Amino acid sequence: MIRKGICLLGLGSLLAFTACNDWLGDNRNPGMLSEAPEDALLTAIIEQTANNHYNVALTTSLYVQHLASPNTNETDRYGRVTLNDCWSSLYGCMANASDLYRVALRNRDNHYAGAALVMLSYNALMTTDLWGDIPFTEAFDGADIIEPHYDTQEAVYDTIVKNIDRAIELFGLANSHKVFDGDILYNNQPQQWKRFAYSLKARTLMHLSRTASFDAEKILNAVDSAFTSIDGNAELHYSGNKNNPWYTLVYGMVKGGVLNGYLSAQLIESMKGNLQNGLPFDPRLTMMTDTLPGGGYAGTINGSAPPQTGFCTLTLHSWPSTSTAPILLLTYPEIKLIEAEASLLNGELTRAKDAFVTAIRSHMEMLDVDSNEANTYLQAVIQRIDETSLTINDIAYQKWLILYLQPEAWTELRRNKYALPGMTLPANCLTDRFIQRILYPDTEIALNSNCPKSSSQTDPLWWHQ
Amino acid sequence: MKPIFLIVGYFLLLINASAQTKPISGYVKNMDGKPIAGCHINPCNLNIASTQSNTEGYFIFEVPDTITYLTFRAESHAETQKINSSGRYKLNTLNIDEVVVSALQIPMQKRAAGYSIQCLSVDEIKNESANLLQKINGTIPGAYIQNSGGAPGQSVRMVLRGNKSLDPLAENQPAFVLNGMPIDNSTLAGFGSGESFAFSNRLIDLNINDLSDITVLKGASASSLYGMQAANGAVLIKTKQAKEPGFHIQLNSGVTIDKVTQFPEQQMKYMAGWYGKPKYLTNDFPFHAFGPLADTISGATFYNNLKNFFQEGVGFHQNLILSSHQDRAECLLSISNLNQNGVIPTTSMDRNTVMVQAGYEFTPKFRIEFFNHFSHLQGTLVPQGNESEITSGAMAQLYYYPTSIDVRDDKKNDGTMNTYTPWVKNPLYLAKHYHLNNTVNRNLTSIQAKWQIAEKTTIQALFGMDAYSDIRKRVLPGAQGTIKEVPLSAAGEMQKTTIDYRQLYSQFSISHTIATKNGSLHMTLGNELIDKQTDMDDVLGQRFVVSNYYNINNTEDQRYLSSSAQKRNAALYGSALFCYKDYWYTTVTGRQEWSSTLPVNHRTFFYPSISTSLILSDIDGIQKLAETIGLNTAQLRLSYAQAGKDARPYQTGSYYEYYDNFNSNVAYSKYSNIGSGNLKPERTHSMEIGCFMSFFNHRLSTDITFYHILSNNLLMGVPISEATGYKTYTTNAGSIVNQGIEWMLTIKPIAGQTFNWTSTWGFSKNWNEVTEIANNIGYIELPGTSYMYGGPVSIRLEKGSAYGNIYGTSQTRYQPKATGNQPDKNAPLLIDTKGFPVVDYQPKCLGNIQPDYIVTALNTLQYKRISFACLFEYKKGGDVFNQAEAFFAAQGTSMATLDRDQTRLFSGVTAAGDANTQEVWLGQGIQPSTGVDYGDGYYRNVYRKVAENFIEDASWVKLRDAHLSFASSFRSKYIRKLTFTAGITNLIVWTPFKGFDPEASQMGAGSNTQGFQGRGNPSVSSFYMGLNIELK
Repeated sequence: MIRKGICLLGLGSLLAFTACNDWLGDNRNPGMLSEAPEDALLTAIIEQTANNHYNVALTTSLYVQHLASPNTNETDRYGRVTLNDCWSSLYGCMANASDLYRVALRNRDNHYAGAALVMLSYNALMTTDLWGDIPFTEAFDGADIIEPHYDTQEAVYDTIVKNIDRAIELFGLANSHKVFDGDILYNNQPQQWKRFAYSLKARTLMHLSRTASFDAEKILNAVDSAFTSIDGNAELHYSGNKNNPWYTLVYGMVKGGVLNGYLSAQLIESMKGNLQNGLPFDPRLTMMTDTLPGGGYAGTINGSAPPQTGFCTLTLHSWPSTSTAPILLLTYPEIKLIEAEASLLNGELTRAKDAFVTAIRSHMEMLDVDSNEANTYLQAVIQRIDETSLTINDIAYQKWLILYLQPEAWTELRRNKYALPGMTLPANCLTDRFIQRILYPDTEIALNSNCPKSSSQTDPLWWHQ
Repeated sequence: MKPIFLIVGYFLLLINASAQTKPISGYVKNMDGKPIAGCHINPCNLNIASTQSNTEGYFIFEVPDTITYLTFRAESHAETQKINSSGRYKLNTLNIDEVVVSALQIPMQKRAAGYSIQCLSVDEIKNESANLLQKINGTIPGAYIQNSGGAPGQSVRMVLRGNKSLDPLAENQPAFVLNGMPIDNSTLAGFGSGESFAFSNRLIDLNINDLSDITVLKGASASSLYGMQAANGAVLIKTKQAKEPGFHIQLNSGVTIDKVTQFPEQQMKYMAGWYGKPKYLTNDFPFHAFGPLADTISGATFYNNLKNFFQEGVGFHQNLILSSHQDRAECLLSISNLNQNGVIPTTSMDRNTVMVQAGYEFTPKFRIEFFNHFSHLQGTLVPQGNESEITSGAMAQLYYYPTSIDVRDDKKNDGTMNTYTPWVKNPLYLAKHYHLNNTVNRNLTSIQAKWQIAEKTTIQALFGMDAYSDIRKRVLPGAQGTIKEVPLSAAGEMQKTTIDYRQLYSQFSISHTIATKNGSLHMTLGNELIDKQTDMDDVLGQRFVVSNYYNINNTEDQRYLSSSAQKRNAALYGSALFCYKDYWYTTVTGRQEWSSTLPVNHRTFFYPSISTSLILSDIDGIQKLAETIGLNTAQLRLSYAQAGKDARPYQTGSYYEYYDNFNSNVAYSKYSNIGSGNLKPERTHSMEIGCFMSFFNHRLSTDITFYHILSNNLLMGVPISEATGYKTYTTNAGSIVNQGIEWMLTIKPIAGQTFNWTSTWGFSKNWNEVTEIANNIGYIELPGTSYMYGGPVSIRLEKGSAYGNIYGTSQTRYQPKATGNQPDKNAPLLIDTKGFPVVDYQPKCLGNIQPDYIVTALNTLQYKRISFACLFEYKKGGDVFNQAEAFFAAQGTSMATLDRDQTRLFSGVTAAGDANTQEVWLGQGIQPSTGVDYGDGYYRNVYRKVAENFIEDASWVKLRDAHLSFASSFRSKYIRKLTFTAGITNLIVWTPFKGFDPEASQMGAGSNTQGFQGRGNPSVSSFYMGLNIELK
């Protein structure tokens, strides 16, 4: 009997342990992928970039006074802001782009590699323009470098420009492994991406106007290969079950009593022509919000309570918060304004004026403004620049409108030292100067010893000096 | 040492072993001389060659000549405890001679165990708690049991001897083993918005009346044979069996009435409003309670909204047990229903269970047991809010309500929600309309065979299954579309989550006994296989098209998520128990483990244990000496053990996870965790010294245990800079030390024939310290924070500190001395130029969640058939963040805000170093007397943003249970016994904590993040009655 038992036990163990390794498996999660398909990764990167754009703009649109807080929220009054979640999603998206670049390069899928670099650069630019010095060249290395070094903003700009140049090269080559797919931005057209890359280069270089490395020629060269019409816009379109995030926000406000999306008095008063010398009512305002029940438009002064007599907000049918409105990553009108500014600084006044007018006209087109109303406004603009010539401030003001609800608006406003007619600190402001940067996230301070000691939110960034 | 409750009687008799080899025979009788049938008799302490007494109490069987002890085990009740010896047997009824079932169902005497073991008889614990852990709360020194709220079925957490893992998601609760098979007790949090609901820990599926006894193995030595799953200790649960010969019927009924244990106080002097005006800013409605003084308003009324929101919870429990034991077959059937309505309107739980426990002896040497427990549970849950959606919870909405507005006024005439401001939902309306319905079907089943293949050799095999499906259907109604409606949600949504869990378990062992003249050796060799799989499918539909029709197809936008995790473990184990002259016992064990969750090169590992027990009082030379000083028994215990613990599944390497569907494209994104390819198992080294002593005919006994537990190589998802592309990095990166004392003292001041008084005191204290955390990462933040206006309050694990520091904003000090991460309480406050304290937004350590020590006192008085027992618990220390008060302070309903019309000179120092002399007004707006504008005022600008103001000491004295029980012995033809019990549980006698009962932790039992109170459902006190009838 004992022998029989031991035999049984022996047999059981033998069976169990010869098959043991197979039985235990390889510990790979069946619910996830070990290597992402390039197309699915590209789709994620583009969608995440648009989300980052929206999430950053939720805060920066207050700073640029496109929007105002409905309840004198501290963010609107320059309270402490670290944008932890934006940092997290920006780096998450850049890590995806960095992975796609690596995989695509290995597979010689040059168009994927190029698109990855453009999106990496786009997000890196957004990130550095919020925080200044950021981890970049040592970033996205997983467990190999768990405390990446911080690059100076100057170095980040250098790398971004190099990456864009590399992307432009890559779009000139062909994919050798897989078909370029999953591109929800340009529907898989590499040549469109190439124009986007040039446009992004122009935007990047324009930021450096106050630095020693500024080169107007370079910008104009980039502009030459950039977008040629609003059809080339880098914009993510929403359709079907995917709604524009601004729409979702406004939907919550309209249907759920969540307060948000109040237009700033600065924006409304500017567009009404009250703050502009010689400019009439801007017809774009009619596309951006509804008139008050009693007629007319009114905004909320940043930092103070909404006017009792009524105020304008984003609506479900106004531009750009309809369900199918695109998120605008980079547009042709912006490129034309960059061209205007660069040529102006380069002493090419005619080119500057032409580009300036084209920018506004194409923006009117983008918004579907009634052509008669658009012409009236354009005539006034043309008349004004003919009489008093074109100034950087004219360009800055139009850019501020063209970059409506875009994070780039804050970068441009800071570069131009908040020099808009009528622009003042928000009411009940917690600081005495305009806000210049976002503070480093608490997690980064705690987890990365390379994180610079915190500076003040009113300290300007490198390119501002 | 098990003086709290008598468990089924186990008795030991000394026999005269003069002959070489012969059959032993005798009678087993009770004090009245009546025979005891069905008594199990085993030689020595081993479960071999057992026999049973027949209906006359007679038994006869062959035993090896070397056997010096017989163990008698009678499964009847307390009054049959004393067995009449038939002259040849010496009666010996020491506590430590109980036979307990240790790891892997190896029966051993408590006297042989070199570590502390605690047993409880479930029937002796009278309270009617539906959750086993809540039922035994307060009865086990060294166990920290904490409920997460008083909603029906809400989860309860148990930690034995401190947290031993640092990974925020690691399991720190013990393993639960039912009839030899490990069973699942997880508390699965919801997904997405489902996270805002408080689910049950899965022990709720067990009908408590089906359970007979519980053995708690606190240390690694005790549980080392169970392997990794029991690295945090183990709780062995046995169900009732039909041990008593004949056919029996038992009926149980119970009623419970629940009330919220304790309420915070709110101010009832200032009405709703802002800046002393009745409306908020330019709106035509208020938001806060910073309105006008009620004295100035005619007809002003205040409401106790907190009390008015809740109701009385009522629960009923019915149970029928049929048992039959005839000859070689035994069978017990149990059927039960439990129905509870919670203190929050519409919350409920309904549970039905059926249990079968059967045994059959095919031959005297071959026995098979079958066990099956099926449960069907249905619950209705109300959202309690979560981190990202705090405003979706009923409790948070309740806290927003100013006291001058009646929360019961929840509905407009058109049936839509009535609320005082569009930004706050009416919590009653929310509770009545926003639900999650939870249905769980669970089947626990096992077959066990025991085959005595030779005189001294036995084979045992067990195969079992634990399978459940947990279906959660959440419906958030959308707007009705009426004019001026404030809906719960604009668009509405519904979610259906299905969780499928199954565990297959098999165990096979062979044991052999060698007996010599001076002792014995009992060896076991076995193998164990566990295969667990969890599948989750989750469908979310958003934006109903047709309102009030709740079907996923009726939504505009749908998304589907699924996940699957499988974990497999295999093990070979061996143990040897040496017994020398019946006073010295030594056990050696070893276990080789294979785990599927570790990298191939590290997936197998070994860990040993050794323990020894010496019964000093039984050593010949000492025995006499001991008797002269009144010492009856003295046992010394010593043990050392290691235990391993593997990773959660799929922690190695990196992944891409599903991100979204963008029109016709699918998006995959990097998974936020990267795992080291070099993971090793966690290891726990545990040392334990203990001593049991009993004096004066066992009228005084004491049991003390010291332990030291080092857990190292701890696996952790270490947070890393997000610039790496990941949020966490799983690696072996930490160690933690737990050490502590558990002490029990039992005194029997009166032990008579008719009147008995037993007093049992328990003391436990656990120190722990995180001794290492990966690389240069100073701390780990546990997931889940509590909402605060100045920044979230979080729980951190920090090197050099005890588990669970509470971090949050504090008041800035003037030139603080370096006091680590804590605010320097000795330094003066920094006062700003306007005369107010300054918020320090850099989070500081404001307290620790762990209690300093716990003292329990149980007194049991028995007079004839009436017994009274009360169990008090004193918990010293343990800080808790009072979430409710943080809301009240911000809303202006806090009692602290009553001085808003007064001025105050904040004691502190200005930036220049001078003492503050600026007296400030605490109200909002312009101070009438001076014309100074104070803006939003002190409470909004400063006070509410300082988490330090809301961290409170959660010490308490609680009456865990008090009951009166009456047992009547009927001379009736049908009724054999009737017991009636009435009692109360969980009353707070004293606590400095000013919120709800601080015990209810808002994160639920499945989370290591404890120390927050208020956002979740509050704890309840219960009044209960129970009736137990035994029929003939």
